[in-house]
Amino acid sequence: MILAKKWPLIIIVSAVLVGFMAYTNIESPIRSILTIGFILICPGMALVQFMRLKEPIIELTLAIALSIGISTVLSEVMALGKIWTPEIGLAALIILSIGGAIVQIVQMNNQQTLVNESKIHSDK
Amino acid sequence: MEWLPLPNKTNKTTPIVLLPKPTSTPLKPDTWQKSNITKNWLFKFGPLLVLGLVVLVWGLSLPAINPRHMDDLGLLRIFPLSIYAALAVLLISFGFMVYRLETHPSILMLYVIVLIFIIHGTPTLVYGTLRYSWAWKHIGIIDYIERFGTVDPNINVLNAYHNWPGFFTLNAFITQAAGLEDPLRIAMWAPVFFNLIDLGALLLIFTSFTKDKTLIWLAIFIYYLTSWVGQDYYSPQALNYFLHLVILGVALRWARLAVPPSPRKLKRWFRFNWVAIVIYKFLRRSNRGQLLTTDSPPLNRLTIVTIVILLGGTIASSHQITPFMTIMALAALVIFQRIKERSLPIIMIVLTFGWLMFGATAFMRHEVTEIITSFGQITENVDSNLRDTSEASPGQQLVSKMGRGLTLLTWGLAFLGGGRRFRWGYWDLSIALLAVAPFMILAGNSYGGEAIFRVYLFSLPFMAFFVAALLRPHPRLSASFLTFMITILICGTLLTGFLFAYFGKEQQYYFTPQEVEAGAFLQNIAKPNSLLIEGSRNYPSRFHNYEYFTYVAISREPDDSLMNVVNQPIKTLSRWMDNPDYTAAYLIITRSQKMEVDSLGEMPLGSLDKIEQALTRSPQFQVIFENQDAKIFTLADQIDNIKP
Repeated sequence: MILAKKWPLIIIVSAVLVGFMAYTNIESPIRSILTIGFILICPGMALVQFMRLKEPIIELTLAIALSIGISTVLSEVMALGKIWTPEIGLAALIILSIGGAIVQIVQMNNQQTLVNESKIHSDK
Repeated sequence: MEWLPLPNKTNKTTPIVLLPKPTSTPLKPDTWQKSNITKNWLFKFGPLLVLGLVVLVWGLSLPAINPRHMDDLGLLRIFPLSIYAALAVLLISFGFMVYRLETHPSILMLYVIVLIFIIHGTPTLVYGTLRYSWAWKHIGIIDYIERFGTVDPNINVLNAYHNWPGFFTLNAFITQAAGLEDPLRIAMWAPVFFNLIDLGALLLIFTSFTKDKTLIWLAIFIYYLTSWVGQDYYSPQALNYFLHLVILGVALRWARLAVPPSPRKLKRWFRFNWVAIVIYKFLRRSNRGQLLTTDSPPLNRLTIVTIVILLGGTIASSHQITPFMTIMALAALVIFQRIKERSLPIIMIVLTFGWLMFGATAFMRHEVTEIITSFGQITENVDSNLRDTSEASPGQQLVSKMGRGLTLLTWGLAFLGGGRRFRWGYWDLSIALLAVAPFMILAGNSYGGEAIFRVYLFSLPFMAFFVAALLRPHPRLSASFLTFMITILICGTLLTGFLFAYFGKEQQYYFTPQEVEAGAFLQNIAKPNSLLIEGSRNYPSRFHNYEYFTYVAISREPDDSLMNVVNQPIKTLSRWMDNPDYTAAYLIITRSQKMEVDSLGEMPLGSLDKIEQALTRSPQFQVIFENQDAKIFTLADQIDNIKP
């Protein structure tokens, strides 16, 4: 559950790092590992978070499956549509991931506010 | 936790009604594991210490493995005894831990992860090169996409991959986005990666069937001890297998039908009322023992359908056989009223046939006749899957027998396990359906002689569950010392069979750095439209500029032609290579080609050695590349045709 709250932050930080390294064209094993990890986990995790699953392994598995699905469809569209631009593809995944994470953070804040309000009401 | 009522052996007349299972029933501690000793710190940290020891012994054993010393039993004879000892300790320790009620699932998961690394990480760490010739060919498709930014469904060589390109476009995208020159590093670690993510998918499925931690982890462990067919390498199959398991997991967990349709509803489908009533009773009875709730909250219909569309679409556009496996599995679950989301198989059918009609039209135009001809020929399709091993070396004959033996043993134990669960009151209809559904594919196509292995692969998770259920049919059954010993005996036997079946062919699957160097040299110096003659297809090939060349493998020639090459290599090969249709012609013979043809008996023993010696002596041929594991020839009068 602690990790569940941190996932939006992890997604945003890794998306920013991956984007920075890709568009400044840094050649490093760290870039490769981070980018592969990002593509395989973050887009799906940004969506899976909305399911509010309580089992971290199941959550991670679904996130990987959805990430693979999203990235495969994206890459197929680029290849079959003859618009092969991995940079733009990566940018799309970054936007999707950050967007999902931000919505997640907003939802968590709203929930927290509701909880606080209900506490105040119950105290009264 | 909620369960449907489950009779024990002595109470078989329990009424079939939906009732919550008493949650306060204490589980009996295993009698042979005294509770007082669990207080000992050694029992708390012991599993981790054992795991650490196993990893240490395994790591220290790796430098002692020299893959060049492999014989026709693959890695088996060159593994140091310490690796076998590490595996034995891992197995015994797991067998002990899995029956302890106090063992946290994360400890059991660590055991499985260590098992995965030992089995699938060892070749990667020891070889330093990519194993399996097909993995190299897959690199070639990715290389094509990176160069052209698209696929060519009408291409002559390996056209199926261009018609089902999902896996390759994904990997080309990942490779370029990650700033890698090629996907070789990714490919080398693919077996470890795929097996790790399969672990999550198996958990998703098994936790939908039961809450019994022992049964779940025993089933997962047994799955990895029996998954010998080697479809976990860098391939579309490995990726799509994972997605297939996730789809089934989502359907079983979030779309299951807890209560069967009423007899009144069933009567609409059947002409006779009594048939509807019998079916209703059957479905009602088969729900007994079924887990009703899981730890995760429910998902709405739209989410489930969206997941299946996304993952199903990926499968349909990435692999030929997996979509049909998914369709059959989902259809079986719907027909037998296991899941309420009846649209799922229809979605898969639409996606699959939609891709066949609009995405893979180029392939289907050429292959449709063959597909229609082989449909329904079950016997022929099974026969074409079983390789004749009479010509193979004694080691390979043993490996083949061990693979078949392991398959039959797994199925046999699963049958007994299903029977034992049935005696305990579980019908496990969903698991049985998913175990049997993949066999339907045999009616369709031989799939290039591989369908029977795919059947084994796709039925394996459910077969493994039943094998585990043979040892642990019921959560309230306390584990005796005898159960522990039988578990060790069964798992040990499965592991032995697995080691033979999985590592026994490594002599052919391993490529030395020198062979890789030769393959790369040939692909770089050969001009477009060259003829590349290979001793066999088993070497690192087609991984760069693959579409430029025409490939002819001597070992794949018809018998007459093959014997002409063996008996008169100079005359036959010079005639082949002097073909004006090609810009140039080259012949490559490597160590792994010789290993394959000799151990599988594809050519008379030592044929490639004889051909190599004859060409080396002949003034008609010129050696243009040579190292200790490979030789490349061209015709002496074509030496100017080498690309600078």
